[in-house]
Amino acid sequence: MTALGLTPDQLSGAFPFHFVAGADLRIVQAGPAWVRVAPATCVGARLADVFRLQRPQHPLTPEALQLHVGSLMVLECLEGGLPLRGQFMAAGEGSLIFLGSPLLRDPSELAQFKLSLTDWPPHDPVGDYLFLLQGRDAALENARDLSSHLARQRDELRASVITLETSARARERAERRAEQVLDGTLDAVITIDSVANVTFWNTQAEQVFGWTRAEAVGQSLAHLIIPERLHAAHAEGMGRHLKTGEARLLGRRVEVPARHRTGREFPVELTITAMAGDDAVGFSAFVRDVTIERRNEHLLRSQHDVARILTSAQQLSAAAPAILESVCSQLGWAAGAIWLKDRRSVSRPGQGTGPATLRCLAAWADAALTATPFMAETRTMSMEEGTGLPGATDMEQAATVIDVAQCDHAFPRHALALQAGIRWAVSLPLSVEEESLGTLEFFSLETARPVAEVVEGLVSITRQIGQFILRERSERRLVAERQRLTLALEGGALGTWEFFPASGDGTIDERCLAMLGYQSGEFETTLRHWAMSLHPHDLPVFQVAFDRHLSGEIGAVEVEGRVRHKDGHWVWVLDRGRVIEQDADGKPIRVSGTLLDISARKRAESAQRQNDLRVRAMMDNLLEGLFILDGQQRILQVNRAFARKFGYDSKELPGCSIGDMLPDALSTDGHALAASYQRSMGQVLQRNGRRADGAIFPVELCLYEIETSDGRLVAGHVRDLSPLQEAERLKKQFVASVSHELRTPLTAIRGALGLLSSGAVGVLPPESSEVLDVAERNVGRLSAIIGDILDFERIQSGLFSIAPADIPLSSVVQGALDVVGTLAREADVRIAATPSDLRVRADEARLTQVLVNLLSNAVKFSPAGSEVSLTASRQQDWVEVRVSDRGRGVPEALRSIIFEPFRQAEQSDARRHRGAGLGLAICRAIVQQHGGTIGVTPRPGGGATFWFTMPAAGIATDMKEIL
Amino acid sequence: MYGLVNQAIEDLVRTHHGDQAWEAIKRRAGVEIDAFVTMEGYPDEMSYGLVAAASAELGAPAEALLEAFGEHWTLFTAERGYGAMFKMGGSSFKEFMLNLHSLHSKIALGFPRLQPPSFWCTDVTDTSLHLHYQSARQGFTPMLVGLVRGLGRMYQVDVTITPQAAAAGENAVLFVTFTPTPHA
Repeated sequence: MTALGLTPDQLSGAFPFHFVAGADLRIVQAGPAWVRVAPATCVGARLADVFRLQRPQHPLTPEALQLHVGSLMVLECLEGGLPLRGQFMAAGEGSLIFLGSPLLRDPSELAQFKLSLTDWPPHDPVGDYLFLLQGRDAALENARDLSSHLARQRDELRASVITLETSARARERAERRAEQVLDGTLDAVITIDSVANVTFWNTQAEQVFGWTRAEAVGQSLAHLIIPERLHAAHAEGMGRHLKTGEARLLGRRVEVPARHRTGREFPVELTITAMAGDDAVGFSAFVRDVTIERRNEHLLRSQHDVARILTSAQQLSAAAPAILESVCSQLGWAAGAIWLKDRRSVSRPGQGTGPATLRCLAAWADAALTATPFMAETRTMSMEEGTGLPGATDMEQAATVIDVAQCDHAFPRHALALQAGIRWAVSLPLSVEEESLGTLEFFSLETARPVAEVVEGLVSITRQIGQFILRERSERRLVAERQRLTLALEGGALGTWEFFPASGDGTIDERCLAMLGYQSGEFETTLRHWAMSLHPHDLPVFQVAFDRHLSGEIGAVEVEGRVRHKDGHWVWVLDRGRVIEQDADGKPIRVSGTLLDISARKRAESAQRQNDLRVRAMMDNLLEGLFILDGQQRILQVNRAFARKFGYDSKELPGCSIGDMLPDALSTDGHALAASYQRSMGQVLQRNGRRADGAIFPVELCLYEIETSDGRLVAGHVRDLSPLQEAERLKKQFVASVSHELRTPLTAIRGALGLLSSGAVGVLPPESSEVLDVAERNVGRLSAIIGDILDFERIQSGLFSIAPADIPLSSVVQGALDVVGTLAREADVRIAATPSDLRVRADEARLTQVLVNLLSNAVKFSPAGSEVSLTASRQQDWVEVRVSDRGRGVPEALRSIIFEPFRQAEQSDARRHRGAGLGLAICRAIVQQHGGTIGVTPRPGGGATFWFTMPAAGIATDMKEIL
Repeated sequence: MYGLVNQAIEDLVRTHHGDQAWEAIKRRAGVEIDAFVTMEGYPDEMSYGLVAAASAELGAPAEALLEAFGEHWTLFTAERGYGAMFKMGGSSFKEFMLNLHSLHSKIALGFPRLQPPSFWCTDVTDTSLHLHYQSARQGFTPMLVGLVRGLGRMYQVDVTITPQAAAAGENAVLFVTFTPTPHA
């Protein structure tokens, strides 16, 4: 429909949110924006179903709407709550048209209601209103940003204020600290204003110049510390600087004289800086008292001078005046003197030690003093140890400082010294390595006491002089040593030489020439000629040795060789030498050495070698092994036989332990070795040897001591017992075998002879019986010999044993008499056995065997018709049995060996008495097995008495203990 | 020139060249203001001076800087609460361009001393238009080019801008092509 004279399109363009309601309040037309955002507001809908009248508060009725036509109304869309602001206008025929637009209070509501600013027509102020709202929001946000910015700036400002306040406080503290630092610095710090009045004066300045801060501040600097003679120069310099800016002293360290409050002048080091103030120029000065430094420099310089003078001096007496002048000049002494102790007065041969005398070696004085009586007296006088100033100092061994005016008793020259104007005397002991050598004296004209540091500094000068005296002595000793060496060279056929490698020229002394048979001038002293004189075989040795030395490979040359004598024979020499001078690059310039004629020694060595070869040949051809040991049982030398027996090469054995070859021969302990050696010396010992392959073999070892140039050594020889023991074993095997093989047929023979003699096989003719008797007797003897041999073999092999028991001796005697009775009767020898009731502890059969043997021997060696006696007696725990005959006896020489096997008193006895020579050996073995002893003594009146002992019955004899 | 423009210059320099560069530019331009007030008007010379100083300090031509300021200004202003105002200008790039003049008229309500430029469009199609620019200030055409590019980015359309000959009384005429948006 049209309204307001507008076409629908115009109406929609101007009022996109308009709607038209009919008289029934149903919507008949709506604007395009309205249709878009609230589709429910469709044509035909009842107005009351779509909107609620929000303002004014009134039901949405036709009457209410008619009543408020033309008034501002606010409708609220029931769907979504979108408020509309506008007015109803009559549109004719009872219809109403609403002209308005959404009422939004915040731009954010646009999105909520899906609206755009273009939904509002340009004439609608709500659009502008929303734009302004948006602008307001942006401005508010900007305001918030600005507020934050200002807050940050405020905080920064506060921080800056705090920093400034802190800086101000720090500056105040720094200023206080600076003042404290300046007070604490080692330098005096002074500031002055433009008219040279003091504005700051630190603690050190108080100490250096003697003025307090309160006294100094505000005063003229010149008045306080500058010597009067420099006032004008100081004022001129200040004025020039203030006028022209010229600053000769500013920023530089200079040394100037300063004045103490007391008037004393002293050197100071000064650094001045200009200070530009707010209103005027000022100056600051760092001042350091350098009195000690200058004093030390002078002291050091004087020490250097003394060292330089002494270095170039030969004798102290020549150097002393220069030393004194230097020390006095540097340190401000007016005079000085050196006193030395007269060494000849200290010790007098044969008279002991007497007091030493101090004599003035040298004195020096400045121009004012040199001609004074004091110096004349000093130069000429001497004084005994302990007297005067030098003597007292020497005695005390401590520096002495004397106020001349106050002291006369210790300073005899004090009157002359006072006359010369001397105020102080200083004396220092001159000693080295605890030996007192003398004293040094110095004299001062100053009123002030000599500074202690200067006096102490002089001590080092006394040490330098003392060291020089020592060096002087050493050089004198060296000269003497050289003289002695020359004498030694002359007496020892030792010549000297030197040559110059660069030119090949050299010199040799007369002793060298004489050694080679030349006169002076006959021998060309060049290396080329020397090489031609050497034996061709020795020349390479010399060349190699010298080349190695000249290249620095070895420290010295020592080489032996032959040099041709003038008459053509060769002279053996020992040539020793070394480089004694080198250039800056280390190349040798001069080589020096000695030449010693060693021909005699070489001949002796040759002879010794020949002798050694002969001895060696003898040793090597010996069948026995020989060895020589050092103190640690290591082999020094062996012969070939030793090496061969033990399976070694003789060259590999020196240095090896003898224990490897003779493991049980010697103790491995050094101390035990000596004892073992002492016990074993000269003894023939049986030990085990060990071959290189580990095999053990028996050896016979004999150790002995030999005296050599290296001291006493242990030597020994070794014999391999293996062949002997093998032979012994074969012999025993043979004897045993033969004995057993003989015994069996012999038993059969005896049985057959018994049958014949008993007539069991028929009666034999008388002449046959006689032959049979001979056969039976010889079979019996043969059987006895075989029995002895078997017994002896058992003894030898350790198989012989006994079974002792307590038995009556009489039964044993009777048993023996039964056996020997026939033999005695045939020999017409009577056996007289003394009855005895003694009992013995013995093997009855073996004891019987002993008695039978002894009685048989006694019968055999007794002349016919004689008597053999058998007696027994108790000897404490033993029973002694004695068998005495009246035969020819046993010679004394045989008594010790008659009990050895195969021994008889005479060789003819074996044939005459048909024995094997084993009987007594068997007896001894049986007796010893019982613990007893056996022996033979001559029988008084002729014959022999064989005796033995047996344990008495009831005596429990432990054979092992006895043995 | 309102503070909002100077703020955009400041933000661009600080973001891409650092605080020290901005302080140097301010010193060079003789500007001693710590913070620009968005709604406060500042002399146009100050803005010119800042641009000239930035050109000297950063070694870039003033035109390039102005174009960059224009593009950055769009984005910066949108972030600083004016995005909703832009949205009021239209739901699409084309609509916004058509409402540019209306937008400035509304802005003038809140910025009473604003001397807003005038914009109008001719030869409008769905993908192109001629933008006519007229202003009492001279030399800001490069900034306008940047502004249009920034709007293209804001509305997510590809934009090409070709300067055209301007009629008398006009500062510039730009031929602007753009890709249509679905809701355009």
